[in-house]
Amino acid sequence: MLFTEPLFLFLFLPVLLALYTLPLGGSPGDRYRNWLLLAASVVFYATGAGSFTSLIVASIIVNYVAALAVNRYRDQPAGRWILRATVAANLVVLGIFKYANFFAANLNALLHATGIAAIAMPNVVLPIGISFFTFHAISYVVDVHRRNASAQKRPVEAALYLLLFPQLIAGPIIRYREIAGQLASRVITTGDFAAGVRRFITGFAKKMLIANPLAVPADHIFSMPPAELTAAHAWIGIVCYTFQIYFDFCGYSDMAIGLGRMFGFRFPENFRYPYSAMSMQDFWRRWHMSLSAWFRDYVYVPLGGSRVSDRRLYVNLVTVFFLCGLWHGASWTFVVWGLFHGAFLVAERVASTDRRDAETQSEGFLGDSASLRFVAQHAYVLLVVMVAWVFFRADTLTGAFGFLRAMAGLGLASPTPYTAAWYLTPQVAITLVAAAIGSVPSVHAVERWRERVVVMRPRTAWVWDWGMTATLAVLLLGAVMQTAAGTYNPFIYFRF
Amino acid sequence: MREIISPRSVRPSRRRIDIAVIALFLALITLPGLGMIAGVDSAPVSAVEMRTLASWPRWSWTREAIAAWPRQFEHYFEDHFGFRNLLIQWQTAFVWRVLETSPSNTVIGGRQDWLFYADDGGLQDYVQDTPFTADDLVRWRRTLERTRDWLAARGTRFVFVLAPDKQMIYPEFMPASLQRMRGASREDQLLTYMQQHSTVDVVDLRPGILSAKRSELLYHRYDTHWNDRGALIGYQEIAGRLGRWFPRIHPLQRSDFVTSTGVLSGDGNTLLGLTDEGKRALPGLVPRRGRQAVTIEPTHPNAYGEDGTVITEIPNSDLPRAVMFRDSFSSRLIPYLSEHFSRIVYQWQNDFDDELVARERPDVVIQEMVGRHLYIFMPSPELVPLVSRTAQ
Repeated sequence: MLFTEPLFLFLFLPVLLALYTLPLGGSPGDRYRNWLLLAASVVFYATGAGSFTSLIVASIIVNYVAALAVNRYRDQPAGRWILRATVAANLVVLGIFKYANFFAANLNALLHATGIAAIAMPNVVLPIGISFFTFHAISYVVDVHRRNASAQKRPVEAALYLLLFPQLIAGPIIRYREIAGQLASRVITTGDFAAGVRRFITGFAKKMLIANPLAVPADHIFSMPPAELTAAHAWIGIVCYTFQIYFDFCGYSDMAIGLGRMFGFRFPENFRYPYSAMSMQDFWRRWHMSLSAWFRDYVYVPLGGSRVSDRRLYVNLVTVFFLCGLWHGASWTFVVWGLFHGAFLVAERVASTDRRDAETQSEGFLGDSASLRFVAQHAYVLLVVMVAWVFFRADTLTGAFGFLRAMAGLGLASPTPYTAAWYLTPQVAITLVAAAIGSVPSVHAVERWRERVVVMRPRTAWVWDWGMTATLAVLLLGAVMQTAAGTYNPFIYFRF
Repeated sequence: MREIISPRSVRPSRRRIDIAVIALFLALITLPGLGMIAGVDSAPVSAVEMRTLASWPRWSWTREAIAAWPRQFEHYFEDHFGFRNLLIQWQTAFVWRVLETSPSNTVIGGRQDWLFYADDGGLQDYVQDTPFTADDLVRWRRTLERTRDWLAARGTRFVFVLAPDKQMIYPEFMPASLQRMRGASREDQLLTYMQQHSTVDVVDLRPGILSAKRSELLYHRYDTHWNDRGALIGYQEIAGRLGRWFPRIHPLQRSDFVTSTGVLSGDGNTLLGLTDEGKRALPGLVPRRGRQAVTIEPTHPNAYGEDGTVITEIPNSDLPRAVMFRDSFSSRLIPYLSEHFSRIVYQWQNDFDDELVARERPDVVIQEMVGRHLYIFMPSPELVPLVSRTAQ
């Protein structure tokens, strides 16, 4: 089930909210609510994943028991061994389901090159959400071992941490210690619930009104043979995709955070206007923050973090981004995407050390113009990010390079009936403008303006507040209309 | 220095806003469910989408049924949640009228608000970037010749008719951002090839219709098929060719018809479910002297005009008999053509059916196909029996 499906929006969520907000107080109420959420999360997962539900249940049991054991034997070598075994088990499960086909394909390519017969490999189906689930489980057990949290004794709450449906499929990745207290008991005020609703509507609108319409031209252009792409095609395609992936992911995170808030949970933020970043380092402090925090705490820091020599640090960065790329998908295109980002982070570190020396000697080479530097840095980040997305989106490396060649104006541009203008419909154009406005903190700017006006004329506060509410109402209706349209399946001749 | 007046501390007006937001949200997510229970949008068939909607999944205690039930329920819910049709209408109207973009990828938005069908070979028929290969053309010729020969051995005439798609007749309304690749379409390729390499009778309806379009509208803005007037021109071409074999067939003229506001000229359902105001200005054509032909089958016509088999007869007549293999473009030809045959069977399929022909023993077999089907349909010569040496 997805948040944007009619079954979730119009059946699952209203029924669950009705049952959840029954006025049951005290600790029986807390326990009832946790049981209810757990049952709902199982239903939520099972409708999408079917028989894989038993896999996730088994994994929960293993991690629950392992965490208790690690808690008990924390100070002994046994504790460390249990931890290693559990982490390894989680990674092995992820490895089999996500990477077995990739591994087999590459192995067979190698064997083929050396003349040995290929290995037959049954196609393994990827259980939905397994990447996020695995990282949750690992963070839980490791945090218990590091004394950042104590193991959850109550099985319902342990299971709820791992299965909580708002974050189950697509994050944000939540640390156990951030949420342990909230698992025990939660208080929901009207303000909280309303904040959750606002957040949910914002995310829903981002996904349905911006990401989905932009996906149409992006999908078409990325499936065109690279030889047919003109520079216009390629740039329209990558700009659409750049906005699509941000609003899709950010929108889904907003929905998850909003839903969590409706049930009394405070989830960490996942995005902070990444396309307004001024450097690649800054970008990664704004994009998918829960994932980069996870990699920082569980891969980068154990490798030594920043407390190592410069060269070792660069190796660590590249390693982290190699793994990050691979985590996103079992394909070399994702690996290249990760390494591309890693390379720029290393380059920026090198440049910043150099600049510290250089600044004592002369001015920056772009002179003193702050706005020029602002534009140049911003453009640099967007260009790097967009080139990287080409690898992320393309099906093959050759396709990616062909696409990049077209972007540079070096494509073959063989004739195609679908001109670039064919993809740039009025709807797409308007959506791109909205996406550009939504990529920078425009709502915050409006709110700051509101503060200044309200100081001078306090009675206009209601105009702003009700205006924002009306805007949310329109966005919600629009998103619901798009959802309905997603079920529209017309034929020209009658189908029985 | 920015002063922040605390906007977030508890204010009665804030609480009112919060309650309003919550109420709005809850209303919108519960209305469809409640509507469904109340029976809104519960119709089993969608006229706009031209399909039967998902039905309530039946429960049985077998393992497969239980495993399949959630997915079936999901399909049912997606087809029947309350106010679905209203929401879809609003979305379609908004995207088309306000954003000036086609809301569906099966429909192309053209100039001056014209709509064209992209599915079923429609898009390929316009961009023409997938021409016939030499093998394809040979296959077509073999099939058509085999059909003609087998029929000729039984004393039956054969004619193949190509009906023009809307984008063939009104390409000036197609969007400029979509470009045609080659000069020749598959229709042109087939016609030229058959003219040069075969003697099978092939009728191209395009020239007649293209010259008639100057005087009146032959396809409507939001329709997929020709209207009564376009079909009349097409019919006159076919009847003219048949008249060479059957001198008693004289094509009906426009003067044989009156317009009737009670009858709409055009598709029952327009693309995207939009109403086409232009249809009101061009009401349907009705014959002055009434119709002679009587529909024998089906006894209860399908509401969408899509009956697999239609049979008409003119009682007590010695006019010729016919079998016509057809697609949707013949639907408007039937009222005209039926007036010339004592019995004619219209079979909705592109493939040949020799058993039907053997049963009917017609004087002529007509095979009609719309041009865009050349992009999605390949003929099968093996469906036509070879001419046997023994006489039938």
